[in-house]
Amino acid sequence: MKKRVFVVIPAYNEETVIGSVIHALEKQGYKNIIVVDDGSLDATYTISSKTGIIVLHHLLNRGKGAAIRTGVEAAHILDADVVVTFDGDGQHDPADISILLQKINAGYDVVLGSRFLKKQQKIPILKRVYNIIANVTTYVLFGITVTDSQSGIRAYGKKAFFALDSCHDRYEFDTEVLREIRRLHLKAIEVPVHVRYTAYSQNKYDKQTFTSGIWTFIRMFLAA
Amino acid sequence: MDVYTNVFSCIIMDISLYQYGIAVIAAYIVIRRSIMFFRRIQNQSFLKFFSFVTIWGGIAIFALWPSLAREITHALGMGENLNTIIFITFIILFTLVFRLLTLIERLESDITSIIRKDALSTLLPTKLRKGTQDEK
Repeated sequence: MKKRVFVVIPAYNEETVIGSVIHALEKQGYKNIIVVDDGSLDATYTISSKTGIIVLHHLLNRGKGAAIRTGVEAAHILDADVVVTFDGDGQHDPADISILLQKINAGYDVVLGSRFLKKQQKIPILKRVYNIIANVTTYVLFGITVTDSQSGIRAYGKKAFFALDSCHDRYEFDTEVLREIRRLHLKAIEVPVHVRYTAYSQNKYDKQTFTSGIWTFIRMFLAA
Repeated sequence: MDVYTNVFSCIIMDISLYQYGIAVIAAYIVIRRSIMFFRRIQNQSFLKFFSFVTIWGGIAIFALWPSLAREITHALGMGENLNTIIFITFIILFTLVFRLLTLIERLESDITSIIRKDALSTLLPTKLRKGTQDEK
């Protein structure tokens, strides 16, 4: 039996690229797309709605984790078998989703896309440093070794849907999912994925900054 | 003249730079709050104004005249138990901060739940395109 796949895109102030991200996914054949507009102050909601996909709107900005959980809940209501999370800033390649789905088909509950498993990718040095710190923190707090604890492209099988319920709203969500994978003994694997850092994604003012990174770090300790 | 010179030199000699710094910051906050209150800026209740003036005014006074704290404890009959009082105060403050953090976290969680419920209320299965989207 073929599985019902939903792609969930958390989006906050992504009016510049959200249209092209949706079209790229549709071009790859994915029609069940849910954009969760996380209280954007720009035209993200309007642009997404015009494409005819499912668009949910948070009245207030609640964070990436909260937006993903809303999207996953919506997908669950719509009888999804698999949910793929996909960043709204255009950094991921829709072609990678099929690799994640292959692993879900192979029996994994969670498949984590890793930007660092794929060689010869242009990743800013600061991103690499942040990622090493996040990976070490993840290992110290939860005893899990991963190469990309902050990846936004992930696939969740039905068994893993409820694992997201006990996670926080903000950026620490990505790491908390790993904690839940371990706690609930879910079968997980990392697969290499492409990443494209554009001038747009690098200059976005609401991305994780150094200060917010420290707060995320503190919250991760509190949540451990 | 001698009295004034003595008082002036006493202030200059006995007060460190950091004490002046704290006093200036405290004075700035008190003045700013006073202006906000008297200009009737939104959310500036009398209780807020009074709390700020009392706390920051107190900080300024104790920064400039630290010995005043000892004199007050003696006058109240607490004698050398000042350290115990400070310790207990810290415990109370930490407990309060912890309770506040817990409360804020619960409120944040409640807000997210309401926002999510509202977002999902617009979800209609008819929005789904015909047929199921399966794996490629």
